[in-house]
Amino acid sequence: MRFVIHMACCGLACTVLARDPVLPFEGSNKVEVVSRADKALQAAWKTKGCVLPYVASDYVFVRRIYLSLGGRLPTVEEAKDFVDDTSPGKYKKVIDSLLESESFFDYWTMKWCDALRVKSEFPINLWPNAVYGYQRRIRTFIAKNEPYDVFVRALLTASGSNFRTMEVNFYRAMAERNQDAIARTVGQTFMGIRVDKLTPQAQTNMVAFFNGVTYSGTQEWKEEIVYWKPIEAKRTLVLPSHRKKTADETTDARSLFADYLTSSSCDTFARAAVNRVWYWMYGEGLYADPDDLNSTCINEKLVAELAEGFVASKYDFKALCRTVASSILMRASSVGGNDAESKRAYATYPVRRMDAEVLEDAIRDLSGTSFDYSSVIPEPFTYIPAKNRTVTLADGSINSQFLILFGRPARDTGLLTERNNIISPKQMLFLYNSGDLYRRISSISRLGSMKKLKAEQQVELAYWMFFSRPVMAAEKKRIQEASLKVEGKNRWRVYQDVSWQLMNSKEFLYIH
Amino acid sequence: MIKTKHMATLISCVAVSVTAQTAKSVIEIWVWGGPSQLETFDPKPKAPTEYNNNLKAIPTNVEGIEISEMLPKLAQQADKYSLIRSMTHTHNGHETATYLMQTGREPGGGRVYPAIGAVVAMFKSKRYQGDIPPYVILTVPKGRFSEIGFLSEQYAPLVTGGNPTQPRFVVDGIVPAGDQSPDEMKARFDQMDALDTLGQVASENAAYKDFKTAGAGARRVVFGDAAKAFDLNLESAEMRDKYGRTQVGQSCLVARRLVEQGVPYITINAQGWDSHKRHFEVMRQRTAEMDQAVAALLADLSEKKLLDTTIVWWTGEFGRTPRIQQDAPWMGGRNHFCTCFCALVAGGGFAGGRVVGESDETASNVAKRPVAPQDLLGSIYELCGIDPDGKLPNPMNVDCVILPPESKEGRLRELYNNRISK
Repeated sequence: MRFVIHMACCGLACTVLARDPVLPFEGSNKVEVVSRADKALQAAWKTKGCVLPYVASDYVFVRRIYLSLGGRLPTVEEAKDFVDDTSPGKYKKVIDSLLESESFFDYWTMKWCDALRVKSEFPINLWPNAVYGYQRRIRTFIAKNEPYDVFVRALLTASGSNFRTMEVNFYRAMAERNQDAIARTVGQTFMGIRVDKLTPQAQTNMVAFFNGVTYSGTQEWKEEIVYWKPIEAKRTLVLPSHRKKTADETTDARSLFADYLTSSSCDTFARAAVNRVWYWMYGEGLYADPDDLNSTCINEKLVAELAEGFVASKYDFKALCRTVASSILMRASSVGGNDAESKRAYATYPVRRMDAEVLEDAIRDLSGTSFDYSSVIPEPFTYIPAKNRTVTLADGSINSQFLILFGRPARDTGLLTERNNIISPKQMLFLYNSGDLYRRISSISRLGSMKKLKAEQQVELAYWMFFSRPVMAAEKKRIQEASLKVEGKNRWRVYQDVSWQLMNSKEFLYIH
Repeated sequence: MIKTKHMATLISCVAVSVTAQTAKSVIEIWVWGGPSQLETFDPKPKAPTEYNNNLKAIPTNVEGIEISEMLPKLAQQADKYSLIRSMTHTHNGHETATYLMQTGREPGGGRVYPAIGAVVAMFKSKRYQGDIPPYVILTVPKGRFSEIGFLSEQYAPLVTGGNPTQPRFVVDGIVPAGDQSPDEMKARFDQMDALDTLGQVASENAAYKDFKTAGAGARRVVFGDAAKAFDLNLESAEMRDKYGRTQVGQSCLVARRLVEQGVPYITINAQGWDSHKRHFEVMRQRTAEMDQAVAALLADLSEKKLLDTTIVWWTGEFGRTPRIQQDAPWMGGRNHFCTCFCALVAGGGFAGGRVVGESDETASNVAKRPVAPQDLLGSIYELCGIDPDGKLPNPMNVDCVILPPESKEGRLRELYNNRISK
């Protein structure tokens, strides 16, 4: 039932096509604008002619928030508990509890390891020992919620052995090891800018801060010392803000640069972090090119709002994640109606395919199967016990056809766009037909939680496992009808096929 | 998405200097582990026993060319291929040498380059519209050196898995792992579509359009003729016997079927050539299988008039030490040897019946016309209509030339059938 109504929003009357919420994906209310960031979003939607969308249903929300913050599906119990909770504060509560969970620590460590290019070899060459040490250091930043500026300063000013002072691995995780490459990496990683696009003078100025960074091997196998080699002579350095700094022969200019980066005169530091968190949360950045803050900003007001909040919180990274995860966008429906007019009318949540690692973990959780990763190269050999989840893999170069197929980033550049979540025919072939997935799907019906159930109950459970929602009456009917068409002894196959069908659906493969 | 966009513009501006017909497909027979030059295409019957183990050379159907007595069937096909007896580089480790032979690039440096298969797949994808991915590896991956480097995932190889000598060659993803009949398969897909509750209300979402396109492409492979390319039961028993009922033999037969489908690049990853110990026992088996497979492939391609448009190349990451290691633990073994080894090229514009370069009397050093990895790869690219000095798209948007400059002696122009002017 659709009719045209006039609704007042923010004092302006606008004409909009009204429609009923779509079950089971939408709740009955529109999203509610609460924060200043929400207002910035709403204003941008309005200029595009879009109005506030329906909220996503609790089924959709609980799955979405677990996948976004925890990198995993909610368990059936977690999903049901959330849906059954009638308190209005449950949305905040689930976000808060996820932010304190091991799942969040693991998943967001993985994201940072992408940005910081953690891999054992080629062209980045950390070697395995340093990979594991560095990844743990990054995890500490997330788990302890170390202030972001403190963490970045620790990386930028580090000196010492790659086995003992884990932060020095920041300087080792670069394809090229010279001061130009260091300046490019620092600019890209912490300021979101492409240093190679700056004027030659600006490039020279920035590079000078990393003059003297030196790498030196030791007698220990694959150990390397990174240190600053004192430079004779007093020198004058020019910050990107054009301010001049004098350094004498004992001054490690890296710390001067870290001072600038984390001061109020560098606005790109906070903005780059905001853009990155937004990209990681929603699969799209706040700039036309998410890896370049000099490209067109998609929502200036929103970026400014979030960046100010981040600075005011003294670079509380978890608080930034909380703010971004609590935005109206996280609550918004992704459905938007299936007719062109309501598509235009309603702002929607951006859907995207699950990350490769998250998908692998989801398959292992659903099927009770696992995969043990190993690499015989480079030495020392790496063997990861099967119980370790894929998102906890430290080494971006560990062998896995699955992860390559599903677009794991090479961790060569640290660019956000290096991870490829676009679905391809080869991926679909794997999902439809591969021996590996066939075995794993077959084991779902043998799970302890499944075995004792009747076929219909198995379907009900499967819908909760895959989609965090109950099976709809129409779906149930369809499955029953299909099973009746099959002879008795083959009927089980219809039910086994349900797992295969759910696994291959967009409702499973996408965060929606 | 940004990546894909700039990829497209870059590809279109790469200049290709082709004047005539170019090779449509490439079959790479990758002899993994490093094949011995002496027991294949560069025998040294006159060298001391500690080099040749008293093995002889036999004449071929081209006057003046002799190859190892281990390859009698290939000896009858020498008019179809040319040999390079002066391949040389400086890496004796499997990994680094494989990277070099696959990319033409020295290992190290700031970038990981794509293997030739991915590059050919990328350039040929503009024309190739088949449902089978443009780069297929039979049957196991070469690890990370068959990979895409900084190219996009769509050019990554489809690795078949499975075993083509079995009654049913189960190609991962293409031939269903279960035992469903085509009708059952269709029924389960129909049911899947009927249960797509989300899709029914959100079908216009652009992200889901990718899903639809990908799914449709995959279904065409599963239900269309593509899967038949891997079904060797459609070949006569006689034809299958000709290639040999071995992994390498049946893989070569599948490769020919893929060429018929227009697949631009196929790699056969022939394992088991890293013969440090008991080299001659191992070689006797490996060379017999290889001899039959490649001889049958060349004859078959030629009969089907496919050889003119299909490049076949055969080599490994390096050769093996010419002097036999008789002491324990090797007991007659050969080690890795990058200084001088051999390669075979055929078809697709490469002339047959010729030899390029020469090794010394014990196959220990290049005596004449050294051929560097980038010269061999560059020649294949040129015959495919790809400019080896052209650029590759990359995420950092910096200048990445496909290959380093050719060596002093240059690409194998003496083998081109006068089809390329450059």
